Amino acid sequence: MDQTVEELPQHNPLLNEVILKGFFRFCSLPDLANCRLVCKTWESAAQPLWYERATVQIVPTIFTTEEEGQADILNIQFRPSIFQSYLLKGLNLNSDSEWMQSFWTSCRDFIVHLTIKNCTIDYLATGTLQDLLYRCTPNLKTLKLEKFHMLKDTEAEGEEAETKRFAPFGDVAYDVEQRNLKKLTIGISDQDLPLSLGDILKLYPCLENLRVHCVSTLRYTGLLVNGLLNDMLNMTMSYKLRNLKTLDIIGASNGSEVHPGTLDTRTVEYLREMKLPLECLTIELARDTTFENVQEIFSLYANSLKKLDIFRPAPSLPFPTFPCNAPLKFLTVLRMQDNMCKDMSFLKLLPSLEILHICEVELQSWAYRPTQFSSNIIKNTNEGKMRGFKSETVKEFRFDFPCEPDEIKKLIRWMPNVQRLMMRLRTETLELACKGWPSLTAVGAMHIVCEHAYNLHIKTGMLYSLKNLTNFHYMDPHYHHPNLMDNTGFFRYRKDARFWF
Amino acid sequence: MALVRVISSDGAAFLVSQRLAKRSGKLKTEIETFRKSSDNSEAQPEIRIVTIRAEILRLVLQWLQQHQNDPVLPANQNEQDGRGDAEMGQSQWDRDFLAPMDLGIVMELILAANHLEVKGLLDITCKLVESKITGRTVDEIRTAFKLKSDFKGNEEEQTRLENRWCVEN
Repeated sequence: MDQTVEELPQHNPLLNEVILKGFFRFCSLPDLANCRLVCKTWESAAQPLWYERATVQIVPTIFTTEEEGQADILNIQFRPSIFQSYLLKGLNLNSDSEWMQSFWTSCRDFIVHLTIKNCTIDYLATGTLQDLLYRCTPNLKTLKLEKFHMLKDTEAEGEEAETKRFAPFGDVAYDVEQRNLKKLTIGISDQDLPLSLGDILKLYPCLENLRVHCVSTLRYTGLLVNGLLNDMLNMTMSYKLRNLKTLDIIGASNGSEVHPGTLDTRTVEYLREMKLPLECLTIELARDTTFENVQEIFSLYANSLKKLDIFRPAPSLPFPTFPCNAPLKFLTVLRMQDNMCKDMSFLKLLPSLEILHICEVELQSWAYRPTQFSSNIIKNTNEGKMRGFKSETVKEFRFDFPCEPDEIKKLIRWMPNVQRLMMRLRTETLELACKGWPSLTAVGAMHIVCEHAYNLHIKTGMLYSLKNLTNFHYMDPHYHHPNLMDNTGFFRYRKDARFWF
Repeated sequence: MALVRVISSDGAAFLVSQRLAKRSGKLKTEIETFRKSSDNSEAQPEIRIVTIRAEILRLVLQWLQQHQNDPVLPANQNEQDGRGDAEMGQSQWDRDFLAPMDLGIVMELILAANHLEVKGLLDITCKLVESKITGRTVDEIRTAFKLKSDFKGNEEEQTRLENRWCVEN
């Protein structure tokens, strides 16, 4: 940059609000988002523009009374003319109502990524919602529907009431395919489970990324979710979703131990027949999922799978070995629970693995906790089998259990290049970890027992001369707290990864 | 032809036609003020611009010269829709005009265009800077413009959260 600008900081046009607003007028929304993060001056200059362009309206999401709801709708500051002049790439909507129709007609072509949060739908408004989803957004590439609340028809009873409740997704009157939609995310809660969700898939034949997250609070919901998944897979098959690369279906049991999981024998059959080119798979095994079932899934995608999140319900004993008989050549991310297998020899099957998380089984009920929160997965690993082996690709390692010093030493031998580490550490094991992994850039220590000053030295990299260490975080025992997790930035706790509400 | 002397901060004088000078909002006001305060309507106005040095002033005038026959855009028209304005003003000549400038010169030009109220020039220069922002990460922007983050506590995190729906894939 020319010196003149630097010499006169007070006249630096890069900090002049008028000038900055000049730049920002031409920025696309993602660029504007980045500009907001540059410094305070930029943020204060960009913020008004951001709010004007990025947000249609923010209103209280769940109406307590009908009058209140109407008042909110009247307060909506929506000005389609603004949107028409920009390439609108995203939109948050916090409510569904009558104004929607007019809104979509004015700016439908501009909407490329659409997120609808906290959508409360009266059964009477389902027609509007269908218009939105199937007809009014021709250029849509990403659609996220989060947290739907469907208001029931209080007068209808029995079977009729059920049908009406599920209508927004199921009763699809349109037959126009939307070939642009690549990514669909749907979050639903058990009360509003649309049984025929699968139907909508036929409208999106080019889908590459499908996520369905069901959050349940009821005990029996697992059964419904299971039915839903199989229904969807069935549909996926019949509608020939040949491009599907990411399948992420979690019937979230929220730790409920009666939840039967989603991957049962029938599901495996579907998956076998579909031959999808899956690269990312998130799946929860059912209680009765056998070792062979899982083996089959792995062999189906052995040549395409890059990312795998796999959960097993508890309590279940670990599989005797990792349920995989051929190497998963391309797998780079693996998240699993320690009850997936007895030992760590699976590392040999994963030549490209970069991120490995071995998580605690998530339970609501403490009765099923593994004794003393410890895992034997390292202890059980046969030294002889692992002799001379090391996985040089692993960069991130998370282990939710306490470790003995000799276990840490083993881990260091097997995965010498770990850069990001999250573990339960004591002074002794922390020292071993810091000395054994010189390339550490980030450490998240859970249940750490060290003196404060001592920690400070680690943080600045002075102790053990860790040159690259820039992040050091202590994890509270309640480490699932979302704020704590956000601070680390790189570890995604299972809860965080799965739920957004 | 009525002329006006425009003098830069470092003393260089430019003799330009009043018609041309009036395409700058600032110079137009200055000329009118001079007229009112002067007894002799034939006298040549002299305007001193203390914040702009000769090199930059020359560029501004050069740009005005090139665009002297463009329709004048009302200052506040289409304020929301900046995109349209810039595309109208962006000609091949403009691109050649801006091409050899380094960022420092462009910055001074932006300040000058803002000070002299030359909307067209302000638009094309801002657009140029915008093109340096497009597609860059936050850190790249900071490096490119030599800016430092001065966020405290969780301020940055807050903003990031607000941005999340827009930037995540």
